[in-house]
Amino acid sequence: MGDYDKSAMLETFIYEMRTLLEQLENISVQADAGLTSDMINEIFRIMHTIKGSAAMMMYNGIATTAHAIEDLFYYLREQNPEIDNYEDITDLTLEVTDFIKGELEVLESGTDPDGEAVDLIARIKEYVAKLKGETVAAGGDATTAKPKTTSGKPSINGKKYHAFVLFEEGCEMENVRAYGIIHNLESVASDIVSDPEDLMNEDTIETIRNEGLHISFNTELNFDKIQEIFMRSVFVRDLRLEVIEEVTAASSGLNNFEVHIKFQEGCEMENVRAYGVVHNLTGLCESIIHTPSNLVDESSIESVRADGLKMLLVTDKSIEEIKKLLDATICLESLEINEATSLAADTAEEASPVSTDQVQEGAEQVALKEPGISSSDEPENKQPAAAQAAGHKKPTTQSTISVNVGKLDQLMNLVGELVISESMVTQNPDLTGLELENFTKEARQLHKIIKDVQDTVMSMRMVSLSPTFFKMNRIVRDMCKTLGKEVNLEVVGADTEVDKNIIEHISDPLMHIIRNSVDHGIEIPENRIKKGKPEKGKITLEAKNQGGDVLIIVKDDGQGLNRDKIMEKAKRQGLLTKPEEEYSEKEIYGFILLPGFSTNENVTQFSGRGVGMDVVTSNIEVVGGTVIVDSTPGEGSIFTLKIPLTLAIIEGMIIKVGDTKYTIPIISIEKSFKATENDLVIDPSGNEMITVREETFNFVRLNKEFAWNEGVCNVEEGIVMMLENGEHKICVLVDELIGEQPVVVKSIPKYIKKPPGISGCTLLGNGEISLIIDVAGFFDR
Amino acid sequence: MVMERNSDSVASVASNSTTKNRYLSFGIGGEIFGIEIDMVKEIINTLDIVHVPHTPDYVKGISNLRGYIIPVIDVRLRFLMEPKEFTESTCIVVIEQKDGNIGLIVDEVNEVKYIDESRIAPPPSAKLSHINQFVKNLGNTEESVMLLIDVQKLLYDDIVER
Repeated sequence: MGDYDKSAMLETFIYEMRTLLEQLENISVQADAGLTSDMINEIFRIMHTIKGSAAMMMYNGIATTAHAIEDLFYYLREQNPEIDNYEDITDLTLEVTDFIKGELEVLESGTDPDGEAVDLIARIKEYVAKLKGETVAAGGDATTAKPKTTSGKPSINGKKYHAFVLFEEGCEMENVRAYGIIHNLESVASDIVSDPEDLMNEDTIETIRNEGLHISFNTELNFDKIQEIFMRSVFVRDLRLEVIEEVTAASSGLNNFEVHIKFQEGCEMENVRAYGVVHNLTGLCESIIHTPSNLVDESSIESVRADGLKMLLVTDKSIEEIKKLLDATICLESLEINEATSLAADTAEEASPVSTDQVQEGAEQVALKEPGISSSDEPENKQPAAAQAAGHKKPTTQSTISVNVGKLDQLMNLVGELVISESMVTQNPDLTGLELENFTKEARQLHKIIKDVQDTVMSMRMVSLSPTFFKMNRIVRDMCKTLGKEVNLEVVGADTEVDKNIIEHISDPLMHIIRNSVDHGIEIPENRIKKGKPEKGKITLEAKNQGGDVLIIVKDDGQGLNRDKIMEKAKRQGLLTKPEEEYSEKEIYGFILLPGFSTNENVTQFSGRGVGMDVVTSNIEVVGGTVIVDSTPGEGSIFTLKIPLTLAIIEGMIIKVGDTKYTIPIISIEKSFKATENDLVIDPSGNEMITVREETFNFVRLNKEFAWNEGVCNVEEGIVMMLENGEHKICVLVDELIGEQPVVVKSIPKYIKKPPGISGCTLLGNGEISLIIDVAGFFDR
Repeated sequence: MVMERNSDSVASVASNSTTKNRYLSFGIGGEIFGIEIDMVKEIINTLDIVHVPHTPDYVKGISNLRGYIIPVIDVRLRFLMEPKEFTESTCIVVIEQKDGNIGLIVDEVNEVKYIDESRIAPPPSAKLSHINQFVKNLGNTEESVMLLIDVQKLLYDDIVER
């Protein structure tokens, strides 16, 4: 692979690994309760891909580790052993993911990973050995029935193999890759025959892409080795490797079906149709024996028309799958599928050259048997293979593409410019006072289109919260193990979508909240029982849309927050800014979000150092969100994150103070009203307050606040706006309201350190800059 | 890729040879200052500047330069000179920095001068006025002495006022 520019592939590699590891984690975490065959297959598949990709990039540490865990799952899949404690498996799997994650980080930092998880691999091997030991002891015939397992894989010498290889979509140059595989085989195998034959001909690219590559060859190497050679190749999506002569029904745990198909009368060319059916089945079956045997010869038309097509299939697929496939046959008159148990062994033993007579005999024999095998009769352990095959067989139409986030950002910016330009044109001062009926009509149409473009671009940036949410499963699980607690994490509304930029800021806060809930919130099982609560704690993680916001709610049924303790600590740290009695419950609970605030006496591995919860606030504030804490002693606490759907374009109210125009996000505006001098109160420390409907709020004059002593000083001349941020409300005095419009948020140049009270700026229609007021900033002081 | 890299390096060599030791000279309060020409992006007439609250007074605010928001600094105020109304000759010199472009308000822009290496000397240390903190070198031209500004200090250093 030295010819490839590694750095170009590295990004794709890391991305792919990340996605796979995430999937893997999700599955593993659910696996504590028991592994279903689907899960095993999925993990196996993921590990297999990881191993392949890592080997391709020549990161052997990752590859060997993945290989070890793959072996484990291979064993699980094939042998289906009895396992009393799935947690061991999950632990191993998670350790592997952690190891690979670590390696990826090393990779990202620009150095080649060289870690070897020798110990981990050894432990996995040990575990597999342990499993094997038990299984062999438990039932000897399990191994004899299915010797195609890790332990009992036959090392067949000098046998003829057949391999079917499908390449990943979009890998390009399939013929060259195919050639590479054959080249690799040349050193170890003889009589290599490939279909398509001429790989150097570019026409074969399409054929291989669509139909895959068939190779048959003779070799002395055993199955494992050959498989390894194939998996070393890049971009192999699907590999089916089989020993042509060795396939017997008994040894491979396969199903045998007897199929009888009749075509509709007058459909013509029965032989070709029959051939089509056989051809369709070729890839799925280990062997197919059909009567009449020569379908290409036109003489078979009559025979098919009269007697139908009879087939004996040896396949690892279930009866339903075969039926489904055959049902799709055109001009099908009747279809009969029976499981041919007794016969199978006989037929299969005879293997390749089976005479027509024999089969006919056999077929007739079977036809006499009772038909109608229901799916439930299928032994459980055959499902995995079937499911896996179904997974691979799915038509992979490409309905999504991955796009560089940078490009999306750029597009978003351009749309922002477009929105501004539009208002610049339509609200152009040159047009004022003109009667422009047609212009207005067209402008409205333009506005509509631009709005649609904007919405579409926004929707492209929306990402589901589910990966972030499911990451929490892992955290809860790990913590429970360490802390000896039992917690059930319930996830609601994980498919809620938010802007890509926002998601990056949600993960950490969420993690801290969840940790906090598990660590401090949920009690240990004994205490829970004492309190009459269910032994298992419960944390609900919920996301939902509400207006222009997304609410993420973390609710636990633990002991709740200790109001008095928080108050006491806040007093000690001098955080109180008003008399103790005036604090509302929510305000008190809000203290725990301040930096360095922790009521927990014991510093645990997970929390208690007082860092963490302020990360929640700061991270959420970065994206313009707020955090609300509520709690009921003894019943649990609720953390609510309120986050705007998107950051890039907001609805803003343009206001004027002196000569400067400011923008206030509409979301933050509760109401605006006229006030009189009589409404104003000055408290002893000189702060102005305003009374609105018998409620008192802090009152801020924007002109003073922004040290720009112009604009109205008289309350009666200006307009008072009530702004809200989460639970907090404040009133500000502005000169006048100019109007509402969508604005594109731009950041203040880095050179200027983030000024308090300002969150960004925007360009108005006429190119003027307007500063966007950071409403949350008003409440910080 | 290879091609690009080559042409790139050629270009940078070329730009080095044409801009090396060339300085843009501008006047503030009667003194002549100079900055390396290769950091200068453009020179523009004054723009509308929006004041950003809670910033040092020499940070005049931000301006819209063709859709890009740039911070604008009044060099006069940074030098602790008296503020002065903008005139016809007041210019904004836009320079490129790692944080993005930054505008510098100067009284007037004169010319681009080549000053030979041999004619550049460090300022006499005794003469450390407030302004001199920002001067890294003196450049002697035929007519006058140009104070070559240390832009890093001008923009980023917390200067103790004297």
